[in-house]
Amino acid sequence: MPECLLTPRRPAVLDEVFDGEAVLVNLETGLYYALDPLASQWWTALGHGTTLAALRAATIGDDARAEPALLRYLHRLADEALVDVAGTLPRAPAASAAEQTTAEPSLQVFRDMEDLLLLDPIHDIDLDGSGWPTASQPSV
Amino acid sequence: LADGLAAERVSALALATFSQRLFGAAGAATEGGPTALLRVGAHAIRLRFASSAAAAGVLPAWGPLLADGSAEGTPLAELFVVTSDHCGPPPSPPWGAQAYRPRDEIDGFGDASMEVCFQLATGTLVLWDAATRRGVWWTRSADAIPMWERIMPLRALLRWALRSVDVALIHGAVVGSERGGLLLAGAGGVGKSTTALAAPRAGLFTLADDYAAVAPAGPVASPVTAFAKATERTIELLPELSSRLAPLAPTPEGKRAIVLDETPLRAASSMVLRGIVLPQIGQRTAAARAVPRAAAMAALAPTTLFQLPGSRPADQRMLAEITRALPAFSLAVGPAPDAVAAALSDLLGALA
Repeated sequence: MPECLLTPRRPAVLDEVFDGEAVLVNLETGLYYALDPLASQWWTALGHGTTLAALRAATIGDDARAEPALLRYLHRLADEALVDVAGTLPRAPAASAAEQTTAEPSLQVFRDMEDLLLLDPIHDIDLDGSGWPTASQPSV
Repeated sequence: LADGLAAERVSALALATFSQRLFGAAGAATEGGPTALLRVGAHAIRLRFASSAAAAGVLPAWGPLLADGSAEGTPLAELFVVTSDHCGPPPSPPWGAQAYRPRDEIDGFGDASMEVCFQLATGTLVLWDAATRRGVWWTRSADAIPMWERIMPLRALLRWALRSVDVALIHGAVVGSERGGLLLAGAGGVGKSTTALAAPRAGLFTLADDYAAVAPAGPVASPVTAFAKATERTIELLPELSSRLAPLAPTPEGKRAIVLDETPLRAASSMVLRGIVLPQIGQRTAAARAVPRAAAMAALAPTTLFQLPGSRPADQRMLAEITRALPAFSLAVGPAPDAVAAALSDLLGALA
């Protein structure tokens, strides 16, 4: 099976870490995220891109009990378009009662900026003879 | 990948060719027209207008920030303000009807070396050439310049020009005194403007509302407009603002332009910041509470980066530097302006 490669989607995704807590901004979706210390640590371990094997070694090491949480987290990052995934990312099992002793990274999503993009959709544009959009929308 | 790089080169070349024609046309259009020198902190920006009407559309917002002709040094940038009703439309663009994107961006065109955007609602082309530090703002008509533009003019161009000297244009307000300043951050509706405009109740002044220029070195804040915006509710809470209404129509959202006190704007062209404050509307005002810097970045970065076109990694870097340099605080703001102002003053006193 080809090695799975995970790469943060910079520059579409901006990321900064402050005192161990990361803030991510997705310029394409208008969403931004606050990561707790564990999620931040795992995000930082992605660096400029890494294989799943290397990431596993850098984050959970030999702790097989933490593997489901890591996979769930990586799927969440992929679903939110925060990382590109090349290859197959193994399926993430749902959290079980037996796992409650292992830490689960938290990624808080903020949607209040999303409207800025939704309010300004890609327009159907009519051009005038000079190649510029016609004054179809009233000025305010 | 090779196809993508080739397409990038083609669009960069087309944009460079277009910009040459555009600057030629803008230079001809503004020949002999009004000029002005805008002061932003330690920097000056030369403005060239195609007509008195174009100048009258934006200059009132900069009254106390305009330098006289004797200002020393080479201006940081030269910006051309042109209107189609006076000079005809700009040269035809190298992109088609499908290129217009959210945040006024042009798909496939523009990068940190040459930024471009088009505001569909107003028919305004904005282009910035970082190599020559020249910009063009070309709109349909001076009469149609919208209120938000008259209150905070040329924001995209100012953002790009200031970036070239490592200064960030931030969506936020600044209040302060001779002890230094506080940067108020957060998305629209969290109470930034009301908090900023209440500050004079405790002897502070309002240096900026809505947007401010902030240099990470310091960090130091400077005003970029002499106007603030206030809702009718804010004016009810702060009736002293009624005497400071600018002679402008309300914005489409019903906000009124408020003329800030000129004296501190003239005197404090830049102000050392002491902290970042995240106002949150609450039942009553409480003392400021320290919060993680990540919270400040989450309040500062998205609203700044999403509000303006052409956000680049350099903008993020500056925001991060500013955030790292300053302590961050959450401030619950209640409906009593005196209490809000006192809380700001107390915090500034503790930090200065």
